[in-house]
Amino acid sequence: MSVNAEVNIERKLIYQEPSVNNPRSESPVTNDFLPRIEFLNPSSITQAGVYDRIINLPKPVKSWHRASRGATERFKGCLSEVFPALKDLSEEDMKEIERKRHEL
Amino acid sequence: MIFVYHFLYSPTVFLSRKSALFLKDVEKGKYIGIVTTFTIAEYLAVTRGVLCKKKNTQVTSSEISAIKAKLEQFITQMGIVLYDSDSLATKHAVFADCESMIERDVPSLGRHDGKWHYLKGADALHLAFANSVNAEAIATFDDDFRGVRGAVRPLIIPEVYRN
Repeated sequence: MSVNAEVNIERKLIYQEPSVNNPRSESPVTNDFLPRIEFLNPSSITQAGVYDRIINLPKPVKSWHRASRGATERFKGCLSEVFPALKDLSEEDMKEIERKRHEL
Repeated sequence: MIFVYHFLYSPTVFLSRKSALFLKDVEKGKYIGIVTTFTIAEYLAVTRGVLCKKKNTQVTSSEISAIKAKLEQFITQMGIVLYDSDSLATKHAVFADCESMIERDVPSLGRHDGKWHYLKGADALHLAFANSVNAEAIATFDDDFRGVRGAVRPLIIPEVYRN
């Protein structure tokens, strides 16, 4: 073996140069979860439930919009107008209503 | 119940006055109102019961339709969001949520009536629906909601509108 050939071998060993006949290959893809976890955005983990809930929210039957001005006033006592029997209910009547709700 | 008190408004009744103040704030946009079809069912049941008692006769189907129509018109004019309870129940574990709400609830002794207040089945269902639509609070007069622990907090109307 020539001196040059010995030096070449030594250099390849020291610097771990890839051989022409045996080129260094990339490490195989393992599809392991651990190497990938560092690329996950932590917020996507903590917010996962919220995200899921927002995406899964069904479409409302009626959507939000600005109220028509004076709607509260217009509907004040509206059932008492339709049903005279419900006019001028007392505090005690209202408490009775509250108790009825508890029965539900 | 807020709808019932408002629709049966009487200026001398405390519950009616406070309901009107809260609804005025919803109208102004201070709160975004959300109701479900379960809220409508409860409103119908209570109002029908009151009418039945006051008239001392059966309530007809046309009267029930009139009661229902008033709430639907009000919801529309107030810009209140309406969700279908059935749709919510298919997308979320509403009934399991009910159970955990009742488990987490802390019963409390009423300051004024000296009675124990705790979350009932229908209350828990309202809360579970509120939770499923990410509502921040549940507006109520009911002391039974006082011990609620979870994402949806109770907004006790007489405490918010003291004057």
